[in-house]
Parts: sequence; C-alpha cells; structure tokens
Amino acid sequence: MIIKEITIENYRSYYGRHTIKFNDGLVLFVGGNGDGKTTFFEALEWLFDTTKQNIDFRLVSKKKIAELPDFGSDTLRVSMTFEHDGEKIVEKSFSFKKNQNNEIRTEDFQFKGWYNQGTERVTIHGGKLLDRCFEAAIRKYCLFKGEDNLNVFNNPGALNYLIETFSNIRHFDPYYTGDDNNFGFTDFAEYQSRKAYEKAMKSDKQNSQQENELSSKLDSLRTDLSNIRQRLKTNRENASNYANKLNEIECSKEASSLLKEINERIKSLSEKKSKLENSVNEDYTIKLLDEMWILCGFSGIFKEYQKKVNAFSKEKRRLEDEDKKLKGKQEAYQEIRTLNEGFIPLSIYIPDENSMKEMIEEEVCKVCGRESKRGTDAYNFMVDKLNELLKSQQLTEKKDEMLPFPNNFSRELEQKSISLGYSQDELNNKLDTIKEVIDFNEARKADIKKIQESIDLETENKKKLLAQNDTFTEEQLQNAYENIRNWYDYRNEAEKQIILLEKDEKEVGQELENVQIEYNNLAKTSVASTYSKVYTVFSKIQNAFKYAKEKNTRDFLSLLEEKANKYLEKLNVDGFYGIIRIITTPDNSARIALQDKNDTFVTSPNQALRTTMYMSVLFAVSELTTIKRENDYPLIFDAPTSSFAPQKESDFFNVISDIKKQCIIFSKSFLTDSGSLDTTKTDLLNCTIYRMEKKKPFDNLDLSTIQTVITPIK
Amino acid sequence: MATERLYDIWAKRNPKFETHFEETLLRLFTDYGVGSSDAMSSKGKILGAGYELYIYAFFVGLYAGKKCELSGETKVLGQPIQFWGNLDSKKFRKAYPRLREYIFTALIAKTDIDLIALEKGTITEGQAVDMLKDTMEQYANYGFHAIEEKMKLNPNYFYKTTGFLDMILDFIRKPSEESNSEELEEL
Amino acid sequence: MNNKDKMLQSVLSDNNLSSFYEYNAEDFPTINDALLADNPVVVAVAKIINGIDINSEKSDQKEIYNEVFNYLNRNML
Repeated sequence: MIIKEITIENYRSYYGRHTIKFNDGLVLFVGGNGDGKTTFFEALEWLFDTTKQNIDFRLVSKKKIAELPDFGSDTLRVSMTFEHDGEKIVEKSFSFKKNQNNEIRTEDFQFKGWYNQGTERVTIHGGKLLDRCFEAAIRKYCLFKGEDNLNVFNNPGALNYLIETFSNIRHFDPYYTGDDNNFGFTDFAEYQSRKAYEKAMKSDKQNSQQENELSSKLDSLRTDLSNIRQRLKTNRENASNYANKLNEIECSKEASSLLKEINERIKSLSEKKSKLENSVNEDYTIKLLDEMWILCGFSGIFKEYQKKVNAFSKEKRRLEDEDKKLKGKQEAYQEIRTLNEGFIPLSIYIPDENSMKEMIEEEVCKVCGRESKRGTDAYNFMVDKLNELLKSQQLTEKKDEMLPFPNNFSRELEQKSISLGYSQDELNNKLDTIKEVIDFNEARKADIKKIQESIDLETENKKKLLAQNDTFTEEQLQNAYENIRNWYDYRNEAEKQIILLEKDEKEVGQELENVQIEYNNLAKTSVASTYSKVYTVFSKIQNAFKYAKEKNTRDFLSLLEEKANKYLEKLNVDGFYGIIRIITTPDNSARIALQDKNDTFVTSPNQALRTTMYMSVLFAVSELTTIKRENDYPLIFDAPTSSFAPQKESDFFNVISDIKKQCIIFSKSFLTDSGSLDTTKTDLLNCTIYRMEKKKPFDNLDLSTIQTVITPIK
Repeated sequence: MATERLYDIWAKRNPKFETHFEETLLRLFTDYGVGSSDAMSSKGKILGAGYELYIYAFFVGLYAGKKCELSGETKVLGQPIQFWGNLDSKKFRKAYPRLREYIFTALIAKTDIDLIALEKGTITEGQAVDMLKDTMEQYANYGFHAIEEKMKLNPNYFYKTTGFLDMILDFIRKPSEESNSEELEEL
Repeated sequence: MNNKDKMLQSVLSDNNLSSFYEYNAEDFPTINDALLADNPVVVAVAKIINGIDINSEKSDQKEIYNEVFNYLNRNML
C-alpha cells in the first residue's frame, strides 16, 4: 500500500484545504513545536477510526469558524488517496454551521471509500475499505505519533501483539493450546486417551487395588508438580524483574540525581512564579474608583473650580465691602490696615489659622518670602489678620444685623477648595501612579513569562530523562536509593525460593516418573497395555506440538532481531552501534536492548543511538509485515534526530531514502535557532521535503489566528 | 438663612438615567437590579453597585467635555449620592467617599449658576442643586451613549482588563480643549 | 511446501519424538509422504495435521481422535 495524496480541510490548525502529494520513498516534513505535526497525525487517526463517529465541533479550524458569517456553513474533511491493488480513496467528513448565537452545529457525518472495478467506480463504506486494505493491526505498526512512542515495546502487551499478528503462532491453536478451558486437538487427545487408559486399568479387576493406589498417587503427584511449577514461574518472574530493576537503577544513578535536581528547580521556579503572580493586580477598573484613578484628568477641572470659587468669593467680598462702605460701617475695616491703598483684603479664612500662626512664629511671610520681624508693620498686619480670623470663629450670628448676604455658601465652597487643595499633588501625580502600576504589572508579567519558559524547558528535559529511563516511574527513579534495599531483599528471597522449589520439582518429578513407570508396568501385564501405548503416543505428540510452538516464537524473534540489526547497520552510517537484542521476560513482555561484541549490555545508549535502534526495529517489523501480507505498508513517525551530529542527520535521512519503502517522517531538525529552515542542511538531502509552520502573523493567545501552512521545499 | 450645606443638599439627590441603559449596560457591568445583599454580589460583574457605572459615565462625559440631554423614559438609581463610595472594606475593595466631593466641585465648575444670586437668596439652594443635578445627568448620559457606541464597534472592549481605564486615558491624552492658562490671583 | 507441510516438519523434527519412535523427519517432506509411512506415529501426526485446521469445529476433534485412536490401536504392537 502506498499513500499517494492526503487532503486535510478545516481540521484544527489546517484552515482551508491542504493537499499534499506523496511519492514512494522518503517524504520529510520539517516543523517546530506547535507547528502542526501532531495535528497531522491526529487528523489521520481521526480518518482511520472505524469505531466511532466523532463530529465534535472543537475539531473545526477556529480561524474558519471566526470567519463564518451567521448561518454560514462549511465542511471539515480528511481524505487519503492510496494505491493498493489499484487506486483507492477513503474520506471522512462532516459539515458545520454557525447559528445566530455564534454557536457551531455539526452534522452530516460521512465516511466513504471508493475503488475501481473494471471501468466502474464503486463506493463502499469507508470503514469497510480500511479494514480490507489497512486494518488496525497493521496501522498500529505504521503510525507512530510523537517521539516518545518510537519504543515499540513500551507497553506490556506489545510483544504478544507482535507475535500474534506477525508470526504463525495462531496456526498452532487448532493443535495445541495448553489451556484447560480451550483444548486444541492434542490437548483433547491426551486427555481422552489418558481417561481411556485409566478406565481400562480400573476395569481390570485383577490389578484393581494396586491400580487405585497408584492412580491416586499419580493424581496427587501431578497436582503437587503443577503447584510447584506455578510457584516457580512466579518466583522466576519476580527474581528476573527485580534483577533487571537493580541492574538498571545502578545505571540510573546519574539520572536519579539529575531528576532530583530538575524537580527542585521546577519547584523553586514555580514558587517564584506564584509569588510574582500574587503581586500582579490588574483590577484597573476597580482602581478607577477605589484608588480614584478616575481623577487622573481632573486637575484642570479642579483649577476651574478654584478659579470660580475665588472669583465668587472675591466678588462677594467686594460687594460686602461696597455695602459696608454704603452703610457707613467702618468698624470691621478699621482693624485692617492696608499696606497699599485700594486693594481688597483676602478673605478672612485665607491663609488659614495654622498657616498664619506658623508665619507669625517664624517671623516670616511665607507668601512673599520676606522677613517680618516682631514689631514691624508686616508682622503686626499678620497678627491683626489672625485675630480677625479667631474672632470671626467665635462670632455668633447677629440676627438683627441686615447683611446683604444671608447665605454663606462661599465659605463652604472655599473650605472645600482648601481641603481638597491639599491633595492637589496627589491629583497631579495620578497619571504617573497609573503608569507606574501598569509598568510594574507588565514587568512582573514579563518575568512570569520568562520563568514559565524556564519551567517548560525543565519539564521537557524531565520528560526526556524519564523516556530514556522508561523502566521506572518518576517516583521510583527519584527514590532510587530507597528502593534498592527492598529490591535486593525481594530478589534474594525469590532466588532462595527458586532453589528450594527446583529441588522439590526434581524430587516430585522423579517420583512421578517412578510411579508412572510402576503404573505402566502394571499395565503391561493387563489388557490395558495397548491403551498405555496409545496414551504415550498422544502425550508425546502433544509435547512435540508444544515445543514446535515455542520454537516458532523464538525463531520469529530472532528473525526480527536479525532484520533489525541489518537496518541498524545501515542507519548508523559510521560510529559504534552494537547488536540489537530483543529480550523477553518471564511475564511475557519484551524490551529492546543493545549489546556490544563482548555481549556486554550498553546500558544507556545516547538519544541518537536510541532513535536509530527503535527505528531499526520498526523497519524490521514492517519488513515482516510485507512478507506476511505480500504487500508493503508506509511508515509514518516523528524522528527526534536533533541529537544527531549535523552531518549524521543528512546521512541518516539519505540512508532511509535509499531503503525502498514509503516513509513519512516529521522532524524538528533542520531549523535554525530563529526557527527558519536551514537550507545548507536541506540541500544535502535527496528526498521530498515540506516545511510545516504556523502562518505569520499570529497571536499565541488567540486560536482563531492560528493556521498551519505547508510549503513544498523540494 | 440657609442652615444646610450646599453639598449635603446635593448629596441627598438621586440622579436619573435613560431607562434603556439598564438592560444594555448596567446589568452587564454591575450588580444593579440584583438586590444589594452582599451574599449575592460577586456574580462576576466587573463593578459593584449601579452608581459605580454612573460615576464612570459621568467622568467620560466630563473629560470629553460633552453633554447630552436625557430623552425618553428615565429612572433613578437605588441610592442617593451621599452613600456613593461607602463600601464596606471587604472583598478587596476600598471605600472612596472623597470622590463625591470631587464630583461636586466639577459640577460647580461646569454649571452656570449665579452664585452671587444664590448667596443673596435670590435663587434657592434647591434651584441651584437642580442645576447641578442636570449637569451631572447630562454628562453621565453622554458617557452612557459613548460606552454603548464603543461596545457596538467592539463587544469585547470592556471585558479587557484595561478597557475601562483606556477609555478614560484616551480622553486625557487628547489635546485639551479648555485653556490651561494660569492666572495669578490678585492679592 | 505449504503451511501443513511446514507444520508437519516442525512437529516431526522434535527430538523427543523422533528418537523415541525411531524415525528420520527428513524422510517425510510432505503430508502425503507421511500418510504413507510405515511408522504409525508418523502417520498419526500426518492424520492429525491433515484432518484439523483453523476452520475445524469441536466435533471434528472427536472424529479425528477416534480415527487416529483406532488406527493406533490396530497398529501399535
């Protein structure tokens, strides 16, 4: 099967229609984090999903949604054109519509497939077509999303799955299963012939008593043996597991302390970030009122007020003055000595009492800045003015006096002018304060962003570290030393048990054999002797099938190993590589390990070597698939080749390009630090290259500005 | 002879606004119409009581230097001015009673009252305060309209953290239409 | 060499079986060869592989068993 073309339309970041053509051989997509690589995979996974109808509106491109008018609609579509005994197409789509409340409704799910039959074009259900040409078992070993998923034996059932799918093991099922609940033929035959044999023995009255004794002994011995073997199995599994763990933890000492450091750094960075976040207060709207920021433009208006009030007060005093002059009342003014004739004195309350007292005490006029020493006219003027003020505070209203102004709002307004005037500075500085607070917040937010970037980096490193030491959970790795003691104990205990049990097994096995011989000898003298022989045949045939099945599995794995090593040699163009070993553990899982020529395990291969190792195994599996299915299938995966030496990267991809197989690889390599394509490197490659990136400009916080653009480079 | 302060008379009043703003603005941004029990406040509204938006709208009109006469149906807010800004210090808020006084001074500055006549008693305090109230209502009314206009252009404008602040700052940064000439007071 | 022939070879080559019953697995490359063998055990294995495959029902097990059992009964001396 060869992929010819993939079309993605309006799926998440793939705004609009994107059609990419594929050729046989290597096709490389270069893109950084978040540029759309994983989305591409997920679009394919969605296409290939034959189990559910997922028409979640969240799959739709946000940018497309943003641009839809009310009641507008469009389609989300993913389709693949491929070659598999003729050209075929599989396509999944649904349409989406925006209603008047800005909500999206999805409908009209379609999943179709097309192929040619003679001159006719046939349409069938998409799922059916996929099951025929590219079913789940195959896809599992063709699509590898994410660089951490390259280790094909990462999940426990992987080995069994591989063996079941790609070896001939299922062929043995009709003949032998070893499962008491589901007999294969030889299991059935062994059981039946044994029963017949025992029945014949029992019906031979001559030997009945001995037969009874011996057969019951046989039964109990068989049960014992079975129990011993079960316990042996468990203990062997345990011993092997703990031995492995201990072996690996030794090599992970460095990883363990690195992990501790990383976790500590993450913790302290997070605390720092938290503190900063708490110091940021962006309640600007509230501050408009609570901190009276809203008065930032008020000073001009306040000045207007003051001017108006002063004018009002002055006018009032002028009129009062005139009035007093008219009415001939001089006494109020006799106490006021004017320095220059004709000026209207300031209002009684200005300057206020405290200011007056201060100036008098310091013997200086703080209005003009000149000295007014005790005894001078200036000094006396001030004293008189203060007395006038003090007197007016004590004066009660003379009801019978007819003043021209019955009201005294001017005083109220003046007092307000003074009292609010004290905060004049505050008003004038409001704008500065606002700017300061905003700047402060922005600076803190920038710091937070930087810290978050550091946290992300550390988390990324931690992830890589854990992936490299994937035998352990994070907790185990971190607490390596605490675990070691326990594991030593468990392993030793298991090994002790094994020794005892093996001894028991031997003894009981021997006893069983002896009793069986005695029983068979009894049979020789009886009618049942033929039954005994027949039973022996079936029993031995059953074992022959059993061993043939086990050999089949061993052969399969060594074939896999052999092929994987062939690829490893090709892919690691120069430099040390080693020998891939697929190691099965008693609990039926497997892991991929590397050995050197002296059979020592390379315990912590570097990232580049790991990548090459896993990819070699994947190529090997794919080759086996091709042999078994008589049809080749593409490999699609993320390759973390950024840890390769620069020249090696190009060589690596060129080698893959030479393997005559369709391979689609997504890589973060070949990007410069600023995120653009490094053409000096890509020029060295002889395969098809596409560049995958987010279209600029975009806003990281606004999903509706994000769209992936794929540009052919080569 | 008047015994009450002008300020206090004014503060007892309750200014009006055009009724339709209740649905379009007050309910969006304040707890207005919900009832003033504290347990029910903090429904995530940006401001608290209805008057808070009123104050904001007033300053918009004031700084823009534009008034707009009220038309159509009107109604009053829940509380007279004297209570505005008297928040209990809970939920991270602070009381701001002095703001009322500043509003008062703005109204005095911008309203054309014959203060001498007031002092003489030729016009009553009540009449003077009516004029102040009119000025206040018209500035606020302009403000409400301006806020609504802005939301039509950009429905999310006031949901940004800096939305309300920016609108005010925009008015201040515009070249001032009033002269800022300083006059020396004659002594 | 089809699948059944392969299965025959892998079972017959079991050392335990071939040494106990004294035959040479290489003498019987195909099922047909094995069905015509003198060695009753070889014939029995061929009958089993021939008569049972993935599509067999449980009832086939009984049928083949009886056939092979009777055959062995007659031929094992």
